Amino acid sequence: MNANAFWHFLTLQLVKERNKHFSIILISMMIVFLLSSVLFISSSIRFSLEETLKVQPDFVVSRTQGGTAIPTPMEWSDELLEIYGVSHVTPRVYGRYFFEPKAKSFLLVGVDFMEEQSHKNLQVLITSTDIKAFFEGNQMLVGQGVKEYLNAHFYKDAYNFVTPKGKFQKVTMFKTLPSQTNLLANDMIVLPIDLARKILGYTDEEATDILFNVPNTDEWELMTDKLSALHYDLHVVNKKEVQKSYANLYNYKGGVFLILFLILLATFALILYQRYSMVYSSERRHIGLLRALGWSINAVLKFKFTETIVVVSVSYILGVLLAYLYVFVLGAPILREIFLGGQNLHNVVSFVPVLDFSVLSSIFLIYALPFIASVLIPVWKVSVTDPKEAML
Amino acid sequence: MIKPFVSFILFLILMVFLMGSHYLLFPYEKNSHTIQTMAKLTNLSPLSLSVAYDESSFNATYPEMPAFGRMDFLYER
Repeated sequence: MNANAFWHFLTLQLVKERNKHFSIILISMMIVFLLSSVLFISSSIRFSLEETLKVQPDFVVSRTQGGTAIPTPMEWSDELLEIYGVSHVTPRVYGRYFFEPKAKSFLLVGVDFMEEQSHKNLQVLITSTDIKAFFEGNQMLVGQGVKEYLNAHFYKDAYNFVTPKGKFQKVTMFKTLPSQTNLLANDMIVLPIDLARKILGYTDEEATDILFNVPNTDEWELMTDKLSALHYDLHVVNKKEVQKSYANLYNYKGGVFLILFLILLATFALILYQRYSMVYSSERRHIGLLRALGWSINAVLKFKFTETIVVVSVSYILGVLLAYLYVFVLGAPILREIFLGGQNLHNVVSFVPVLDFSVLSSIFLIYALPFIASVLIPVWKVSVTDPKEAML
Repeated sequence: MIKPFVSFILFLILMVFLMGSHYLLFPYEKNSHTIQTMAKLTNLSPLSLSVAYDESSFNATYPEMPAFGRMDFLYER
C-alpha cells in the first residue's frame, strides 16, 4: 500500500468511526486539560514570585519571643549598618487588620514616601496627575479586592480604622492599585509609614522587621551566624530560604495533582486495554477482517499505531489548548482557589502565560506511552491469531 | 487524506497559531515591571492569598496557648 492510499484509508477510517474516537478523545482531553491547567497555574505563580523576589532585599531580621514575632527595635538598624558588607538597611512596617463583621482581613503596609526611591515607585504605579494630593492628609492606596469589599460595605471614599488604643482613624482612599498587581496586592492597603504605625500599634522606635542587602552572596552564610550572635532573640531569614519555601509549596501542590493524574491515566489505560482485548469487540473483528484481506501483521500494527498516534496527538493538543485558554485567558476560575484560596477577599488574577516546554513534553510522554502500549499490545495479540478466530 | 480530516487539522493548526501569538505578544516586560515596582515599593513579596487567618481558632497541641498563624512562613518570619 503506498503512502497516499494508507493515509486515505486511515483518515477515512478515523472519520467513519468518529463517534468511537470522540469518546476516547474527550476523556483523554479532559485528563490532559486538568493536569496542564494545574501545571500552568503553578508555573505562572512561580514565575511571578521569582520576578518579585529578584527585587527583594537579601535578608530579613525580626525579633521573636516564645517563637512568635514581636516588634523589632529600630536601634537594630544602626547595629546592622555597622556590620561590614551590609547595605540598604530598611525597616518594614506591616500587619493584618481585621474587618470585624465577617472577620475578613487586609494587609496594611507602611511605606516611607519621603524616600526618593519609594516616591519614584509610587509615580510609576499611580498614573495620577496630582500625586501631591496623596501627601495631603491621611490617604491610602488600596488593592482591587479591598476596594470591592469596602464598596460593598458602604465605604466608598474613606474607612475608619480602629487603633489598638480604641480610637478611630479616618483614612481616605486615594487610588486603587493596578490590576496587574492583584497577585501580590489584592488585599493590600498602602499607607504612609507613620499612619501604619499608628493603626497597627507600633511606636516610632519599632518596626515589624528590618531588611538589608549583602551584595556578596559568598558572605550570606557567615552573615547569618554574625547576626544570630548579635541578639539571642533575633530571627534571620535570607532570600534563598524564601525561594525554597515557595518552590516547595508549589511543587507540592503540583505534585498532588501529578499523582492524581497518574492514577487516572492508569485507569484509563486499563479501560483501553480491556476494550481492545475483549473477545467479541468490534476492534477484534476489524483486525481479523484486515488480516483476512491479506494485510500482514506488520501492516496492521503500523495502521493501528498511526491511528493511535493521531488520536493521542489530537487529544493532547486540544487538552493543552483548552488549558491555556482556561488559565491564561479566563484566569482559571475555581481551580485558582486551590492555589490562592477563596476564604478572604475575592481575587481576580490574570496569570502571566508561562509555557514550560520540558514539562509539556514530559506530560506528552507520560500520557502517550501507556496509551499507545494499552492499544498496541492487545492489537498485536489479536493480529497474530488466526483471522477466522479473531472474527468470531 | 480526506477533506474533513484535513479541515480538522487546519483548524487545530490555527488554534495552535492563536495560542502561540497570544503567548508571544503578551506584554511580559510591562507586567513584570508593574509587579516589581509594587514589590519594590512595599518590600513585600508574598502572594495575596485569600486565606482565613483565624481559621484555626485554637491550638491543637497546647490548648492553653494562642493558635499559631498558619501562613506565617510565607510572611518570611
